[in-house]
Amino acid sequence: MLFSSTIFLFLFLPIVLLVYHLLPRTFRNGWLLVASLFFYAWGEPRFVLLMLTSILINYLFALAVHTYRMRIGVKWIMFSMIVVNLGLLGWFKYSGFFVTSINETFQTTLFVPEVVLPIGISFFTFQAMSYVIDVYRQAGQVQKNPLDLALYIALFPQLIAGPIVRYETVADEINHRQETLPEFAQGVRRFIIGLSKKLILANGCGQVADAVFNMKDLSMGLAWIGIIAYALQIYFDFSGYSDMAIGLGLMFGFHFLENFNYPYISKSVSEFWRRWHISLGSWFRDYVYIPLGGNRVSPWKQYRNLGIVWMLTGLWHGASWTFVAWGAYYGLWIMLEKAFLGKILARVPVLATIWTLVLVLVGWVFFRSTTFPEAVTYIQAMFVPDVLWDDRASYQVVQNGVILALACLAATPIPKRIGEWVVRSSGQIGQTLQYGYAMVLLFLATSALVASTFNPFIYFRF
Amino acid sequence: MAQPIERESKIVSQPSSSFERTMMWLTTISFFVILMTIGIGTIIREDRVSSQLENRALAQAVKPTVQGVISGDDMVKMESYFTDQLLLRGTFVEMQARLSKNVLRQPFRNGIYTAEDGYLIEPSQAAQPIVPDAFRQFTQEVDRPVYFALAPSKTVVAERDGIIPDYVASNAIQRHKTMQAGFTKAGITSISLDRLQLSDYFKTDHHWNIDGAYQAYDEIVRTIGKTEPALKKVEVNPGSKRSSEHPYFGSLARKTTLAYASTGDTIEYYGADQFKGIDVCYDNTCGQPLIDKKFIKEEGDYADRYEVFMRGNHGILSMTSKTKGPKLLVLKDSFANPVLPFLARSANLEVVDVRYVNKDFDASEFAKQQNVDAVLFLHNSNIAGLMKTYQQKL
Repeated sequence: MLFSSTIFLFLFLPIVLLVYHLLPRTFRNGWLLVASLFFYAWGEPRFVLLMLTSILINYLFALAVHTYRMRIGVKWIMFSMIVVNLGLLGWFKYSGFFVTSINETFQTTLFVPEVVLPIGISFFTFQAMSYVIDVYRQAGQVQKNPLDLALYIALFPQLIAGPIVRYETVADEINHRQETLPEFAQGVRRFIIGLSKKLILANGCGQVADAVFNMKDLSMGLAWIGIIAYALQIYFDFSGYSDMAIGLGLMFGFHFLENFNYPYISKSVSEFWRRWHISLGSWFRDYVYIPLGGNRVSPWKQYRNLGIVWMLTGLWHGASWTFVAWGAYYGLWIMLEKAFLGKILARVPVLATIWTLVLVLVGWVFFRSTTFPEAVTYIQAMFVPDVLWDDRASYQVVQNGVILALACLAATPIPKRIGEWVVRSSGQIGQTLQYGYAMVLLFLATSALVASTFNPFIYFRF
Repeated sequence: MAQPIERESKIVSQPSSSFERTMMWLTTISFFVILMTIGIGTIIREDRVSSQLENRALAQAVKPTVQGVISGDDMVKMESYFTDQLLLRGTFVEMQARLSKNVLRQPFRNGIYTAEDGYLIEPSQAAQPIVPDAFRQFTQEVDRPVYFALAPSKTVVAERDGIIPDYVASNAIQRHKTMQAGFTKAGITSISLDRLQLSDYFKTDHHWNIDGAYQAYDEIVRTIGKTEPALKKVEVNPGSKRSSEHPYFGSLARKTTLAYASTGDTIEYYGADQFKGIDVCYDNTCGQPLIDKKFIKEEGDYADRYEVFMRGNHGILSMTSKTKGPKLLVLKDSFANPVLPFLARSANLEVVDVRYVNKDFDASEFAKQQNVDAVLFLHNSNIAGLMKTYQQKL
């Protein structure tokens, strides 16, 4: 089930919220777990068994780690846990890609398995691994009750599109949390803002991006319009889902970490990745980069570690060489910034922001393209075009200029700062606006949901 | 790896005043009430079969099956059903259109351009149409004069008059000419309707209005009359022209909503007194109304008032009177409907809409059986999709 669907918005969510807040505290976790499994089963019921298997396996691994913590064999338990989790992820997400790559490289004809990708598998696998690792590191208590662990992994607000909630973040809240009116109201506002980001801004920009990426012989102007539209689409789509997840979490008393922080104002690629999909970046940092030695090893090993982390980051996003290239691309720039570029960029902040934005946009071309030739042709149109501007570009400006401009503005902290200033300076009127505009947005987002057939879910491959 | 800038989850502060607390309660309650009202309202309200606004059948309730649930197909159908039947669906669609037009300033909606004077135009860039060889064979087999009155589509006229912006790709004129040339090559006599102006079309519909239809009638009689002298124009009494009280919002309005089709049209027709003595037969019943005012009076913004003429389209329809004019076979689509009442005063008509006849229908055999004097195709140029059907039926 998707947050941006009528069934979720007008049936599932109000029923789950109402029953949850009417139930005695003892039954709330049980109800949330049932609701979360139903949420996941909607559309792909068979994969519930896969998720439950993953939960059970990691529950047992964590118990084993907790029990045998002081023994030498605990490292083997951890190794087995990683192999099993990555094995599951590898089979469902990467087996076809892996065999196809072998066939193409070695001209073999190995059977290519056609495995359907369970939605959200990358998210719940990483959360499950986070749980066992945090128990191993004693960053969180082991869960004796498997239902509570199931709730942590399957909790529907963050189940299929993140943020990746690390166990230590919510370990205490699974059994001891307080739902309050201010948090519920804040959660409502945050959810509606996320819904509006997704349905109004992301889908609006997505229509432009899809139109341009389906065209041939792009002019320079059209190519830039297309990639800017895609950059805005993916940002508002993803950050919108994160906002909805954070908002829903607050309604149930959970506090998830922020996942985005205006990434397009970054002054370096390193900063971009501190502002973009923060939960994934910190997961890789804490569970891969630091265990590999992090910054405390020799320079060449640091670069090696960065290379590994960024290839994996690319691969996490999708089973395709274009994603690997996308990850490697970022890894390369981060290495260069670490080596010398970062110091130069720090001296020219405005130029650094533009430079970073251009690099990120080029990166999105690899992310959006399905093949390398497609990506290369697109980048050629951006930088060495045959035609600078054409009628199709004019059409996009006239038809979608306002939505693109609004989205560009909304991708900066300016609207938030203006809103805060209005609330601060206009007393009760400001407070009324603060809450009232959310209801207006709810109607506008609903109208966008009902009226448009364009409502893509771009995390199906994550 | 760099450290994330913002790691701490924000703990929401307590309300600073009772006013803020009230606002929080209002937000929470409003959220619940809005979601619950729409959700429960959708469930308890009687299901609707179709949407006048979207001119389509709406998804109906799903009876889940074990296989459908396991595969997830039934959930997809349930979502379609719930979205289609959603309480206030029409209001939400209109609201979104108003947002697009007034806030996002989008001149196009669903591919339709809103010109400054309120005309809704549907530019299109498509492959050049091919007139199938079946037309040439038909012309030879039928052994009677064959005419094609090919009205320029509204898009052709708008393109000709420079109403469509330069940056919009549209090749309607080119396709119109290709089609005209194709029919001429097939041995069909062309009746040129290229003098039509944009004012001869509805603003919110793709059809022509009564003035456009009357001009077409005039041109048809003039051209066919050269070889069929018995075909004479019969003037209508301008004083019997009637107008609908309700505004008419046509097919293009349904695609764009009232936000874009703000002015609407007035549908005009001539009173039934102008068509006395014409017997209209279809569906094995004669005495059918030629003008049915029921559609003029129908409630609803998107009521299809164009069906005032013979209640819309029928597979085979005859219009006979005591006229001394020839007998014509008219092969047509809905574009011809307002022309037929005029033409029926000048000739006896056998009218065929090939979209609604049996699959074994043969037009040339039918023309011979009915012993018609001539055959008239009456369409607008946007009929590339009909060519396959004609290939089968001619």
